[in-house]
Amino acid sequence: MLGEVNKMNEFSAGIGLRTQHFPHIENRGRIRVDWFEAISENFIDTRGRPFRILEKLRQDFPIALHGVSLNIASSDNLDFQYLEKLKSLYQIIDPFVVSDHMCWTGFNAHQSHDLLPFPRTKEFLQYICEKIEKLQEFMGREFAFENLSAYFDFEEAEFTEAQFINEICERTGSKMLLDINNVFVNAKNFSTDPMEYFRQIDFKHVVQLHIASYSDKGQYLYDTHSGGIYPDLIEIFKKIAPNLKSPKVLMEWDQDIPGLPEVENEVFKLKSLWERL
Amino acid sequence: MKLRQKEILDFITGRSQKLPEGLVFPSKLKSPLASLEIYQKAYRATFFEVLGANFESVWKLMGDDDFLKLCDSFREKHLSKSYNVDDLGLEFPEFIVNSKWHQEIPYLADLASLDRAVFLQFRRAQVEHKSSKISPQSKDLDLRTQQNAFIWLESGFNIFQLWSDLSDDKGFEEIKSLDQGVLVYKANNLLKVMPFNESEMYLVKALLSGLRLSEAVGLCVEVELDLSHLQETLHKLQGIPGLYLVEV
Repeated sequence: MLGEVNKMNEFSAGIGLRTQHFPHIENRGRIRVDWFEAISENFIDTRGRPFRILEKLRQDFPIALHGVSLNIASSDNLDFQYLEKLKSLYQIIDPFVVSDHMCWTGFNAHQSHDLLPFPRTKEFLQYICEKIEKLQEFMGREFAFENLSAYFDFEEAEFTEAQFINEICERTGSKMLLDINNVFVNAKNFSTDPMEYFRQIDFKHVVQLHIASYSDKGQYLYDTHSGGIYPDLIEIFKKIAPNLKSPKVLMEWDQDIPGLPEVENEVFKLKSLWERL
Repeated sequence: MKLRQKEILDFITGRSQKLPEGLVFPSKLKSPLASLEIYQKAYRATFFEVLGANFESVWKLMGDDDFLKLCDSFREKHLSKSYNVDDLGLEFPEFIVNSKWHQEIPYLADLASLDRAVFLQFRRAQVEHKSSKISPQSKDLDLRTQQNAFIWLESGFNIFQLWSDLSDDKGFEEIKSLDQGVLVYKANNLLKVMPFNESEMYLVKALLSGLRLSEAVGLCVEVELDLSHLQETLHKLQGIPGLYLVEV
């Protein structure tokens, strides 16, 4: 029987599936988290070992699939060849949430392999909403979109990111993947108040949260996912916790990745905090 | 928006030096350029990371500095067209052939091809191929192949020894000019890299081209190749997934 979402606790803890943890999973090491998130692009072009591990893991755990190449805010049309592969992966894995980023990654079929911001104007809002509607219709399910960490913005922006995502969710029925680290990094870099972002967000759209760490580069904070959760992010979580219902929180750790239990410990810091509130 | 996305992308990927206008930058950064340099550096790092991971023996052979230069040179000429970052290196061996490094290290592209074959067979397998159980006997045989089950490479150097020494972090022995075939495949979840000497290589190549065993042997005899280990060579081919020796 597959791992079911409805078995989740009130606070459900997840971690990202990374190759460094494959031996732990294959050797049936102890797993304490409730679910895993896998990067879709790592599994759509292979049916080899990584895919077998994902399938095996799916027997016992719910899986969220998170993409990095949807390119929803690009001037390019949707890539239906890519979407067909994604659809086929969804049919096999049956993820409980599917998501990507509110950004563009390439133009004219040329990829940056990075997550890039766009001008949050009324015109662009209309453009992205139409694209999301086509996407959700083709895929037959709703998507969640993650807020971005960005190192530039556009003068002509008419919405804050929070307002823009709220509006998209309202108009298209899509959801939000709220990345607390990205909000904090952007706020510090652009000298704004991170809590203002959370005051603007309509939490009813939030279906998943990401938490991670950043690197202080002196002149700016860089979203690196290279360590444990900093106290300032824990403070933010404490403040927004009353707005969250059954939060599904994922610890992202992508550089200098430690053993699976250590990554689990990070997300459990938030879980124990949640239980004390 | 198309024009602005093109300007931004061209700047980040180094195809244009014109700083895009109308952008807002983090207040503590000294200049707008410093902001977009974050993306430029990330783009450069992506190439280095992906190529380093998928062409590990090329990296080990060249060392950090020269490999980084090779990656930079590839990045300047190569536009990534795939949503999958791992596809970045699919044209890397062909790029090396046309680069100055090929003049300096004539076996570098062959080594890169072997790395690519390993990546494709081990990490990008589309299906799990099963082993053939037909054993080669004295009757005439055909070699039937299943597409993508294995990759066959040929080199004018003893590329297998170089690759295996580098993979094991051993110092490598002298590179010799030596015709060699290498078959890369996956069996029982393990990667197999099998070298074939000159005689074996011509035989396998002839079989893979569609000749029957008797015809392939005839061809090898014509060019006076040593076929004293014919049975041994056929046994080497036995059991390789996607490669079937059938009686005709």
